[in-house]
Amino acid sequence: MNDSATDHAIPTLDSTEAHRLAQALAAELAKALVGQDGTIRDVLCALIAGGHVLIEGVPGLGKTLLVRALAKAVSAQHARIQFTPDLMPSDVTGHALYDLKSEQFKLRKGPVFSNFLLADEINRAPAKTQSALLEVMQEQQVTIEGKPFALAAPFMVLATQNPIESEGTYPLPEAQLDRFLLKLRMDYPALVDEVALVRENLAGRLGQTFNLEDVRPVLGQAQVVALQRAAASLDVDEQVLDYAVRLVRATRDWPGVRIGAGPRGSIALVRAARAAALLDGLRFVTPDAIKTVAPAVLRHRLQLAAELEIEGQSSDDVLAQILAKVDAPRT
Amino acid sequence: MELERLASRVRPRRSWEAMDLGFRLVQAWWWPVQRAWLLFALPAFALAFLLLQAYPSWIPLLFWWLKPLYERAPLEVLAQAQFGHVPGTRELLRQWRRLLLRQAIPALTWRRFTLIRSFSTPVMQLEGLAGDERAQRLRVLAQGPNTRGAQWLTFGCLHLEGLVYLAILALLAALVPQELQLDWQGALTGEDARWEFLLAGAGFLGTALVAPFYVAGGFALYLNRRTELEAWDIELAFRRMKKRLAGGLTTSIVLALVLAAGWPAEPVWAAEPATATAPKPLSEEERVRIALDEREPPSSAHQAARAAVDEVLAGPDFHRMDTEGHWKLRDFDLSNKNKKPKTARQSWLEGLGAALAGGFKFLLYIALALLLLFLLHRYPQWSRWLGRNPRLKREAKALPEQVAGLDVRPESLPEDVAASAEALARAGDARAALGLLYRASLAALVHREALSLKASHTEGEILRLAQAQRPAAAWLAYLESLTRAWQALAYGHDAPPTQALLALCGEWRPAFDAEARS
Repeated sequence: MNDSATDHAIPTLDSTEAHRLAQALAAELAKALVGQDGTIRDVLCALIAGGHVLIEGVPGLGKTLLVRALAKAVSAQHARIQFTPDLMPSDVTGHALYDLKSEQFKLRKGPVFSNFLLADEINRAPAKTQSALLEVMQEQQVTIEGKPFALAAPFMVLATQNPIESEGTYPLPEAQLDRFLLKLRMDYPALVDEVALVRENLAGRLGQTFNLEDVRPVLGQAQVVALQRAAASLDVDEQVLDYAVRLVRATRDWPGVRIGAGPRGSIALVRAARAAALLDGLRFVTPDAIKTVAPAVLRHRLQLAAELEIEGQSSDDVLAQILAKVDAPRT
Repeated sequence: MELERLASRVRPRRSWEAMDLGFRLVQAWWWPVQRAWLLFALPAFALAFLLLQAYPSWIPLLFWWLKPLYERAPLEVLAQAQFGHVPGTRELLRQWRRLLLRQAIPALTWRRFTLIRSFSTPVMQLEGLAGDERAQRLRVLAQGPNTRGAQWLTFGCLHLEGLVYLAILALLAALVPQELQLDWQGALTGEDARWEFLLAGAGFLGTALVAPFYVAGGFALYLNRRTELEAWDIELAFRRMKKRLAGGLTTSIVLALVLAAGWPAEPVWAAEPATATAPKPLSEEERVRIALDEREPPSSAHQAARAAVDEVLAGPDFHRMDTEGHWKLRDFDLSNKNKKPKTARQSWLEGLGAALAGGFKFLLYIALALLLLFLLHRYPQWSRWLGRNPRLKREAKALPEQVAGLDVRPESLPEDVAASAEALARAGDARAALGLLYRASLAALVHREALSLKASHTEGEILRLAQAQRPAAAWLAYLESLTRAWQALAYGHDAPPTQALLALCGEWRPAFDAEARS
């Protein structure tokens, strides 16, 4: 993150203020995305923890809407890339173009130069394009023609995967899945919410436009960075840290798990828990925060044995068992 | 019959041992026996192949149906080999009429499904009996464990044939290169006739490999039964003795012994099942004594011989005790007083029924044992669920004491929790005070409110659990504030002000103390 340039503009937030801002942001997003409070919370959690999310869900649940609402609520830029099999790495990052008139190379920046990037159906692009994006996610900078370009903060990638059509896709390798802080499962809204959503969307609207007028910018980009810093400064007690690491280690030798989460998983778990604690208005991380975020943090970091998959068990089922078995800290 | 020329050692055997002897016979004369089987089986298979080309699935059936006929030639070979002559192919071919046609119709029709074919064929073929004579003879022979042995032999060989058949198929399947896309479905549904031919061929091979053992096993059982009935072993022993002691007076004694002891055995043992009036068969010792007593007045030489005989009679040869025990259904005849003797058909039906029943009984026992194990395994959960067993219920209730991570046994807590906590708080040890309050609250939840807490429950989860299970409880608000204070202290290292802490101490009693409430 290019913090030094913007340091002076970033306010310091105490936990009450941070909680208030986060709540305001959540409330704005809930205006646009009806009935997906869990997803909004998780996305905010990833945003505050400075991570990226992988969202799995059938089409039409409002993933693009979420990104646009998020960008609008924090007055930031957003971009959307539809991943296709012929998408090239330079389509994502950008490239240098020779300008005949000025006889110079001109830089054309790709869609990654934005704050919120929606990478739609990331598993439809071949491995080299995927890894170009994943590299950007990890390094927070882009190298074009040998020159590094830092990305603006905050930078967050929301990648989506469609769980039902796996024909002709390039599934993300485990090492790359690890780069996503959270993997979310977006599900259909409840009946009441869906009715409200349909009514809302039909009220005097033409065609397929999004309902974004109600979303007001409540935060600046600097405040988002401030929120991230506030989360990073939260206390993590030794016991809570120990609990998080014990949870992650339990995934490694759990029966039916082929490969468990690595140390990056432990780090991600505590990072996400800090953000969750901030969203709850706490000044410290509780075991509860760890336990709440554990499924989203760990579900894409487990590889189940073939027998369990044949039995129809998902990594969520295994994680639920692990969470019910690992002792919570007590003092 | 020249018993002394028998190639195998003659002695009464148990049925399994007898079958084993049969297999040893095959080992000794495998190729002659196999060749004799192939001699008629191969042409029959070829004929079936040619005749039923249009209906390939009928080939194995026809071939199987004619099986009793091919088994006669190997039996002939085995029987003659016992006396040192192994008939060659030509010799067998010359006898084809006798071997194939004799009693072919019954063998292929009503006797086709008998389970003791290997045992009963020698009666027809080697003793040359037919009709009632054969039936009567078979009735005598079929008593005893050898018949059951023959049934087991049939079952065993049937399964062995299936195994060999499958093994051949598996071998073929393993040898097919992976690149070759075979239509396995055609094989299974019988759409592809070539598969039928292949399967028939594999079936033929399987039958060919097992048949000699089947024939020889049955033949050995037959020999064993006759050894038992006709006391061949004793006869042979006497003949050997005769040879050894040839000449002199002793010959006449031995001959007398043989005549008196050896021969009467046959009619007695081989008779129909003993009726109530039939005399009990005499033991060998008694028979020898009677024979000696009925002789001429004793001379001195005779007396010496008698002494020698007495000595032998007192020896271990005549005092071998064999005890066999097995369960037997008591003879209760409910309806038919005048029972007709069973026909061969009835007996094999009964045999089949008994064998099947035995198998199912065995399976049922296994199932019962598994069921019992399963019940024992699940008993704790079920009994807790049913709530019938007070001991287990108590255990289930007592469980959280050990697993909640915190020691929540009432005896581990001080008498007056609130006062102790207050003292700790005043002493400045906020952590100990809050810890005691929280622990005492959990103990109250576990023991009084019967909340089932697990070691993996976090503080927030315990609070939510309490809210869900006792939504109207007066202590909920207190538990919430206590939990918040405890979390802040434990994980945020943020001790509450002394005033707030003292307030928590004071509120504990009305919220959780049983005595204060009652």
